[in-house]
Amino acid sequence: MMSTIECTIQFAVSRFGLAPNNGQSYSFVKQWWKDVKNCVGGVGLPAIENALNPFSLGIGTAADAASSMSQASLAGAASWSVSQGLTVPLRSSIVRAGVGSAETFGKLSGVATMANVVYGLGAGVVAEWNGCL
Amino acid sequence: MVMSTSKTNHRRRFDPNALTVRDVLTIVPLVLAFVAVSIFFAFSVSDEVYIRWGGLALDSAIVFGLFIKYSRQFLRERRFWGLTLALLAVHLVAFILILTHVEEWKLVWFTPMAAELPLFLFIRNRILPID
Repeated sequence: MMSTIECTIQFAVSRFGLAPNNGQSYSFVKQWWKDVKNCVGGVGLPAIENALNPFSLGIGTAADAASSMSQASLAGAASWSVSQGLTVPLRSSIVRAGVGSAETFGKLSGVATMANVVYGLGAGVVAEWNGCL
Repeated sequence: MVMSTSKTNHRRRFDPNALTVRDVLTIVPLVLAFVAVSIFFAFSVSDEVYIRWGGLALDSAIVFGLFIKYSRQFLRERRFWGLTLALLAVHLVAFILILTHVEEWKLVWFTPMAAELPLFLFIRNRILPID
């Protein structure tokens, strides 16, 4: 039974004449789709999933920790401001320091997340090469 | 299973347990430089620019870097570099169009780039047959 994508490809081939040489273009797309399904779905994505798994210790843990610290810092600044009944919170150096460190931890969390995603993509591509290409 | 003809048998595999002092002296400064540049870039641009364009640059570098690494036997062929430049141009144009037209973009949305390697290798093997 044909999948939706295979049907779409076949429709595109018949409707727009994408296969002038005995269906060569069609088989090209079909072959690539087969590779994607087997290799990316079966090997690449699980490797990426593994690298980005939030429950395992890795670069993502640092990103989560920095993000939590950023939120805690901001929450601390907010609760200080409320407890002191500040009408203009940013006049307080404690609040400004809390907001500033929240921003810094947020940026560091972004850097760690970027490193984690780049590592995950690299791990996925390497796994594809070693496993099925 | 697929497109198996392009591997070379004398590839050097990365083994973290067999690193020499020279390897460490090469890797550590590179990693530190990468971290320093990343932090500097993250603090000097907005989050949106960092995620979209920083992510595109780094993830494209990973995919194309590995594509070139896995195409060692073609490195002296001019046609290979022409093909790589053409693929890079198509890849960048497609992503730039997407990134300039979507309102929200997350870093993990770059991971489907992993599907490009089978396509690149498939096209390479069709255009540059292995002897």
